[in-house]
Amino acid sequence: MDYLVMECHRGYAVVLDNAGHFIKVANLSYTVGQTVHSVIEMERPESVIDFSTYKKQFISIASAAACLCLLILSAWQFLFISYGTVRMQINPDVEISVNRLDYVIAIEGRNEDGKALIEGYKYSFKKLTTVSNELTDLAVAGGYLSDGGKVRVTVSSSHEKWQTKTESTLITELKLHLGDSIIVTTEEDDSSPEETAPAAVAPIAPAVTEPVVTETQPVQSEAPIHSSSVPVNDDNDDLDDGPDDDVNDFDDGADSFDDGAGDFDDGVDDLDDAGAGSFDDNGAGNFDDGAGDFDDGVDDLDDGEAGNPDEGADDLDDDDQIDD
Amino acid sequence: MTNEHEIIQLILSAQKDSSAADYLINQYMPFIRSETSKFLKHPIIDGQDDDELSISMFAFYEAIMAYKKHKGSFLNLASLGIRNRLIDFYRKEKRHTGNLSLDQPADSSNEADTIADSIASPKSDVDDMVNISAANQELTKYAAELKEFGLNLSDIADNCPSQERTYQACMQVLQYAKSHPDIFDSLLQSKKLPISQLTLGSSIKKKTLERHRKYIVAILLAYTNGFEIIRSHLHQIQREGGK
Repeated sequence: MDYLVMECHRGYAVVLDNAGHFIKVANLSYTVGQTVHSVIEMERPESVIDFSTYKKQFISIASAAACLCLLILSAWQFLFISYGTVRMQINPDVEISVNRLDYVIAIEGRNEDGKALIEGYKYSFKKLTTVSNELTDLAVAGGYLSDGGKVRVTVSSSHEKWQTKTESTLITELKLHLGDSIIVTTEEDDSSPEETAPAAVAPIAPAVTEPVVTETQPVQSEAPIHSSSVPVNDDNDDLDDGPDDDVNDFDDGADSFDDGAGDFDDGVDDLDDAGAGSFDDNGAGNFDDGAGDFDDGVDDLDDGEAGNPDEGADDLDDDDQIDD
Repeated sequence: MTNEHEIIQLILSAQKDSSAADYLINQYMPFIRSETSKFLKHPIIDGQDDDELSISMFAFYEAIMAYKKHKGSFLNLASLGIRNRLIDFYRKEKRHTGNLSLDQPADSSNEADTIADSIASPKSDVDDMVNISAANQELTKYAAELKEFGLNLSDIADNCPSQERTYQACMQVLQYAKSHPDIFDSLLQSKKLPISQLTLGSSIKKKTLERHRKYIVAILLAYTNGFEIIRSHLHQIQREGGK
């Protein structure tokens, strides 16, 4: 191959070979027009590619990737970082970690029973209230929790509002789920079932309509009809105030509602003045036996004949009519 | 010596303009000489170490073209390039060890006679000088014509296809143009390459023609009137073209 020297510069020369290639070579004291037989060819720098387009593409891809990373990081904060913990102590001691959305992200048994309780339990994608209910169910099924038992709940978080709200919600939810037979409490309000006085529980008001004779105050039982706690039993588990007479009634004596003072029917001001075991004074089983009750002639629905709503004055039906 | 920032500016300018490259090389001649001396392990002797110095200047120019901003020191790059080139040069020279140089003194009574003088050459030096002079004139005219197209030989050398496939495509364009002389007329008149016509006629992609426009212009120009020396030099193309 021959090379025709086309141009000379300080650091190089341009030559043309026989095949038509223009080449930059070392200028070994060449003269333009000279033909040489060997040259030292220049090493071509990497082909100059216009990176501006690639740069723009790279920037847009990098920006999108950065946004995606930011999104993932934010989602991570919400989904996988613990926002607070809930400790449930029955006898099994369990700590539940919760994320910002109140989903459970971790559970840990704090004692042996706690570890045993949660073994095999799947908490993924479950809310705190669901998990707490299910864990108490497991505790009941496992014999750790029964009627009269207690569940102590402690909510911890650096976020005060969340802590307060979660505590309140959780207590309510557990009480609804477990019923009144099991105490649900927080660490601050640690009242045991033994300390609960029956009187502290509001009695269920009797289903009494407005009494006809109102001189005396309507008697209300001081003794609770129903207690949310285990009733105080003297001996024989009757429900009245008096001595244990083995009679499960609400009054002092016989099995009726109106046998004496202090109960619902001790005379005038009750539904049943004299008789026992019924609402009527003299007769049996009807509503109109005497004054002061629904069925004493004039002022009741049925003055004379039983079963006839249409007899007397001032009743609903004097003359075969419902109205007067 | 100018600071780092100024050097980088000069280098970036030299990458685009051959005159700026010449200027930079002149500015750094002391450095280039120093690096060459280090390699030779003796000061440069003018007349004796010219080739080595030329190689070093060439290596310095390669470093200018290869340098990228923020990729480290340019002088370190240049120093390394000079050393590597000189090593390569000496390895090549070693292959010729044992061969006689035509310039070495002949065994004759006249000390000035060299071996070359004793060999009868088919051509005389005067003929060589005439040929070179004629070629020089033609090439000067050629460069001037290229300038009218906004081109110079350094740009054309950079634009020359390196891949064989692309080179063959350009030759195909040349063959088509040679069979359609009106293309050369159009080229000289408009001072522009008729890409559309060449694309249709040669079946070469427009993208290829546009990418190597400078080279194709230079090759087509060489086949217009007044450039016989260049054309005769391109005998390998003509042989392969078969025309």
